[in-house]
Amino acid sequence: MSEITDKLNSLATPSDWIEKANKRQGNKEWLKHSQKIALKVLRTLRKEKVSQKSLAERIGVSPQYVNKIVKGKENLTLETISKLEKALAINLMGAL
Amino acid sequence: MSNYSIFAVQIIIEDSLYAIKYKDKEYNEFSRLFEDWSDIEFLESFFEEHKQDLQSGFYKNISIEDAVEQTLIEADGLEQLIKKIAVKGKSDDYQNLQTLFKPLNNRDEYPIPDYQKTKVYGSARNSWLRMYAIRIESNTFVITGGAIKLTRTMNERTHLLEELEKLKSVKQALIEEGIIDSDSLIEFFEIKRNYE
Repeated sequence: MSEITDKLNSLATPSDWIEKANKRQGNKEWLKHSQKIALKVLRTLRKEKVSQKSLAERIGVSPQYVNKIVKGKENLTLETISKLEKALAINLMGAL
Repeated sequence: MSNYSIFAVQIIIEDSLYAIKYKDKEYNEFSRLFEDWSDIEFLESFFEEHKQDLQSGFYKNISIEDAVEQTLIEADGLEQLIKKIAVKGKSDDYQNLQTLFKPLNNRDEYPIPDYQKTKVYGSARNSWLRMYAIRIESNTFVITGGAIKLTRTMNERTHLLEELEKLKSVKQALIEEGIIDSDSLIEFFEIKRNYE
């Protein structure tokens, strides 16, 4: 390889992006559901002017967990989905 | 404008594609973009903030929900494409990366300088995903950042201007590190890309 690439290689460290990409691909089906739920929850929170903290109180979880939910990368339990539906008066399961 | 201090350079595709990891950031820019582009909270917040751009007429008044969905699909496609290039092997890297990355601005009358700002379109038409990189050699790119670009030019939005700043900062840092040794004039080119 060239001198420039050699210099860059001497500084560069590996990254784990391929593992992450494979994980995203492997979990694609349930991630799609999680994303749909997250989006509907977020749009409802915004429309109803409800904070994530308030939602956390309503469903009895930590605000940190609600924040995980709304990122759409969480493998939600049916119980959590039902609690979200009840707390926000929206249909999530039917939308999947 | 933030001061983008380079913390590390990470390998995306050996000898072909690298990404900057800035100080105090958890991920390198390449990984960070795919994290953000699959993060519903990030996307919903972004499109809500840039609602007016979605409704400007250029995007036919697309809803925020549809904008989020479109981004998820395009980001997935882009990630898979780059992964395909990565696993394909060294002999194909040059060809494929050259097709993927194109100069930021298109001025055919000037020869292409050695160090350019280049970016990637997410898909052939109407994609708003961008990845910005400095080409340090004919087949070696260093990703400095990326963004969702909803406006015609980068000058119109702060988050895009920041990407220009990152390109400039990284170029300067690479010169200071002795990776590249020329202070060539950087030109902007316009690009398009096809998904295969």
